[in-house]
Amino acid sequence: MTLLVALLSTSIVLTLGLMLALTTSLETDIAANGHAAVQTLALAEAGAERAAAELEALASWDDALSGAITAAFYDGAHGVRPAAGAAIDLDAETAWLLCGAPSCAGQSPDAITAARPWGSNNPRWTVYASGTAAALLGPGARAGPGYVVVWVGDDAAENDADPLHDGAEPVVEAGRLENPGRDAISLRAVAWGTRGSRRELEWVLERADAAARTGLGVRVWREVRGALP
Amino acid sequence: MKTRPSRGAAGGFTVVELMASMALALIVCGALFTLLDAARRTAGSNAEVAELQQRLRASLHLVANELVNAGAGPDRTPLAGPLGFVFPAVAPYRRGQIGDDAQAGVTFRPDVLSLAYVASSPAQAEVAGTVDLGGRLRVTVRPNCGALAPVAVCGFVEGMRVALFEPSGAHDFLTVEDVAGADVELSYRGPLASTYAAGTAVVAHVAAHTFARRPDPATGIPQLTHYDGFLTERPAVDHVVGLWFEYFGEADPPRLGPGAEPGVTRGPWTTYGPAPPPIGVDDASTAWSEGENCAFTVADGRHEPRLAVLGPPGTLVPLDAEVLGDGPWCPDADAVRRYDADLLRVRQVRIRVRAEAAPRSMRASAGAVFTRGGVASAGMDQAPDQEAVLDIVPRNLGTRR
Repeated sequence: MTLLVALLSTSIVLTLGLMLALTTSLETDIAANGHAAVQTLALAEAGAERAAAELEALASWDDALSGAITAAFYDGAHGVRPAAGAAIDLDAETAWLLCGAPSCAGQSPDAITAARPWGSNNPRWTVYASGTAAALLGPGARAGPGYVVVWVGDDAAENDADPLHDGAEPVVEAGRLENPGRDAISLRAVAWGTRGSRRELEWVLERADAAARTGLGVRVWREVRGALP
Repeated sequence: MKTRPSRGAAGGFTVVELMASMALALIVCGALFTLLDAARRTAGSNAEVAELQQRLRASLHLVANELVNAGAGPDRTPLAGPLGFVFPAVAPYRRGQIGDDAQAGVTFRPDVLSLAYVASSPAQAEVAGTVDLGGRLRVTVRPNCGALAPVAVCGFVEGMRVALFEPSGAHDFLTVEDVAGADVELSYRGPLASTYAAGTAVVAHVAAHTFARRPDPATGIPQLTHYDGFLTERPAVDHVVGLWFEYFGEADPPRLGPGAEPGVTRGPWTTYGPAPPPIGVDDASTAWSEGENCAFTVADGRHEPRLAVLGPPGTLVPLDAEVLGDGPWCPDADAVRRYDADLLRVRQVRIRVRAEAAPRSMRASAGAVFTRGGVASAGMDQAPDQEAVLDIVPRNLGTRR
C-alpha cells in the first residue's frame, strides 16, 4: 500500500516537473529568439550608422560606389565568414543583391527585373563596411557573436546610366537636364546574430546641404523583410 | 504461572495497532495529496502566466515591428522623403477604406493606432493626371523605370495597395485594379480627399496597418486586432484587456529651412510638415490664404509657423487627445479626410498592453488586479492581469541628424 502510494506520488510529481520544465524551456527559447532578433536589428542599424558617419565625411561618394575606398570598419568583401554559428558567404550575399541569385555567372547586374527595373541605372552594390559585432563596437564593449555587412549603391532616382558615379550628367533619353539622384546614396545593411537571426535594413541618405556638401539626412529608413531566397 | 503469548505466536496486529497505523497512513496520504494538488494547481497557473506573458510579447512585437518603419516615404519622385512632410505616418484613429475615423470626424481613440509607410518596391511614380470613374480612379503616371528601360511603368501590379498623396497633405489609400501602359486604375471607397489632377501627386506602394482592441463579436473575448487599411481585419492576440497608445512629439513648431524654395530648391523644405506655397501664391486645392497652409501662416510678409510652441526647444512633449484634435487642420478644415497638423510632431509612441489569463477559473472578481472577473477563489489558482510597456521611436519620424 505504502509502496503504491509512494510510486504514484513520485510519478505524478515527475510528470508535473517535466511539464513545467518543458514550458519553461519553451518560454526561454521564445524569449531568447526575440532577444536575438532585436539585438541583430540593432547590430544592422549600428553598422549602417557607422557607414553613414564615414560617408558623411567624404566630399564625393564616387570612390565608395566604385569600391576604391571603404569604411575603416572593413574586413573584406569576399569569401566566407564564420558568424554566430553560421557561415556568411559575402560573394553570394552580394550576388543576391545584384542578380537575385547566389551567383551572377551569366547574368548582368544591368538586367531589367521586377526588383531592379532601372537597367543600366541599377545599383551596383559594393561592400563598404563589414566585420564582427566585436570589431564594430571596439575593445571593452560587450558584443555578441554577430556579423554585419553594409553595401553602398547608387540610388534608384539616378538617370545617368552610370551606377559607379553619384549624380553624373543625365543621359539624353532621360529628357531632363538635372539628375534627381545627385547627392543621394543607398545603403543595405545586413546583420546575422545568434539563433539564426538575420535582419536587413535599407537606407537612402542625402546631403543635408547639397551646395556645401555637408551634413547628412536619412531620406528613407526601412527594414527589408522576406529578402531571404 | 501465566505466560503472555508472544506476538509472533499470535501471527497479527491488534485492532488498536491497525487503527493507529491506518490513521497515520491516512494523514500521510492526505498531506501528500494536498501537496500534490497544490503543486498541480500552481503548475497550471504558472503555465497560464507563461501564456499570458506570451500574449504581451506577441502584442508588443506585432505593433513595434511595423511602428519602427512608420513614415518611410518614397525614395524617388519629387515627394521623396519621410511621409511626415506630407501626411501623418502615425494616427490615433482608424484609417482605411472601411470605417475610416477621419472621415467620420473622430480624431483620437486611446486604443487605436494607424500607421503607414511606403514599401520597399519599385512601385513609386509621379501622377501626370487622373480621371475619376466613380469608385475607380484612372491615374496616368509618368515613367518610373529609368531612362533606358523598355517599358515606362514598373512595379504596379493588380491587387497592390497604394497611397496617393500630394504636397497639400491630401492623401488616400487605394487598390490597384488594372495596369495598362502608363495608366494605373485604382479602386476606392467613399469620397477622395483630392482629385489629384494638379500634376503634383505621387502614387506609391504602401503598407498600412491599424491596431486596435475590440471584443470578439462571437465570444466577447477582448482581442488585439489588425486591420490592413483596406478590406481585411483579423484578430491577432486574444485576451488583451487593455491597450493604450501615448504620443510624444516635438515641442518646436515646424520651420522653413534656410533658402528653401519649394519647387525650386530640393526638399525637404521644412523641419516637418508640408511646405507652404510661396508668399503671394495661392494653393487652389485648399482654403488657406495666399502663401499659407495648415502648418504655416504669413505675417509681415514672412512665413511663420502656425503651430504653437509646446515646450522648451529640442524636447519631446506628450501629445494628448486635445492637442491632436483641435487643429489646425490639414489640408484644411473642410477636407474630406482632414488631420490635425500636430500629428506631424509625433516622434515617439508608447505602447502599453494589458493581458489576462484565458480561463475564468484563474481570474477572481473584477477590480484592480483583474480587468474581467472570473471564478477563482484560492490565491494559488489566480493568474493576475499583467502589463508591459514599450517605447518606440519610428526611425522615419525624426530623420534630421
